[in-house]
Amino acid sequence: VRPTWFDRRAVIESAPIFVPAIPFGFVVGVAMAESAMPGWIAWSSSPLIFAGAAQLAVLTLAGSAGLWAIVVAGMVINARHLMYGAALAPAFRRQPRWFRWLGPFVLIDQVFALSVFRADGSPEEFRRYYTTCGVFFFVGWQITTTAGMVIGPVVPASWRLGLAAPVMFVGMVLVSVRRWPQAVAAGSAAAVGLAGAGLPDRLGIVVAAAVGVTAGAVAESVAGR
Amino acid sequence: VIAATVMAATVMAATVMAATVMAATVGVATSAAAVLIVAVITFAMRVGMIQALSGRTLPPVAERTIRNVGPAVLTALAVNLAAVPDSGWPYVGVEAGAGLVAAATVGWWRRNLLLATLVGMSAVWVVAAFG
Repeated sequence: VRPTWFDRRAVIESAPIFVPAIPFGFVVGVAMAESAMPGWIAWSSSPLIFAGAAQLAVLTLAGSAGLWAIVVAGMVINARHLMYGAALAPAFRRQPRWFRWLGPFVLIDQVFALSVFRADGSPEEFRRYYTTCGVFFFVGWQITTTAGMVIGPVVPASWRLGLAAPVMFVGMVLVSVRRWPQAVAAGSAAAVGLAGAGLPDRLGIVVAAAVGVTAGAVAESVAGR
Repeated sequence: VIAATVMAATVMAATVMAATVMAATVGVATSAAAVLIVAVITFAMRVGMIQALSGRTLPPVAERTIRNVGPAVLTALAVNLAAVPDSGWPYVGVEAGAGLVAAATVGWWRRNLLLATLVGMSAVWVVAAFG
């Protein structure tokens, strides 16, 4: 018997998008094992935060950054979810109240990308599709990050997996940058980030991000003229 | 309006909590606080707009600014994690630098995160093997 929230098409469409997320989940799992945090708390970030880039920031910054810097970094990295929420708001407007509160918990990049094109269907169809995608990615994420955490410590240091996180972050930026003001934001953040790498509590991240966003906004206003 | 107020209050409460716990020792309390606070903020950001936008959309200026946040933060984070803080100017080592440049180039060229990461790490391994 199939549960009523299930949509087979959602699984078929989620699977190919999940495959590229497996190595990312593995990197996050390795970061859990190497984090200065107690292991079980590091692991709890997967079910509780359920956002790869933010988890990676929290896990790798723990021990070398102040708590407030970690929180600010996590907050700013996740600011893109505001955009996802804004884009999906019309589809959620037609949903029952409980779903408007519970559904967004699984609003990750992939679920957004899959469901934003389903927003025109009936409310029930959208809910089934969205829920199936969300559950699929949530369960898959727990499995891959846990696997990375278990296997991570066995990997020799010469593999330099510690560099996987920054390499992946740079890849993410370059894959997603479409407009030149975004490139200005990233470029200025890189320059200030390097210059400020010696600052205590990894304060350089916050300063560099602020400068980057400001430079991007200036570039926007120039582009808009 | 209510949703926006709840969100603002959540973020403020989280910041106050962060400031309070920061004074405590590094360990279980700080780690748990970091995970929990970021978890609450993440959820607030996912649910906030859906609750707040019942009949409106954001002004274009705000949407464009939000789009710049991701690139700026992730780049700052990547450089900070890869850099070696020196007594003089901080610098990025040859291995890390090769990995970052390779990942950036492939990411821009192929628009494929998996490929960019694999090529970036391969560059790290190749440089490490010769260095």
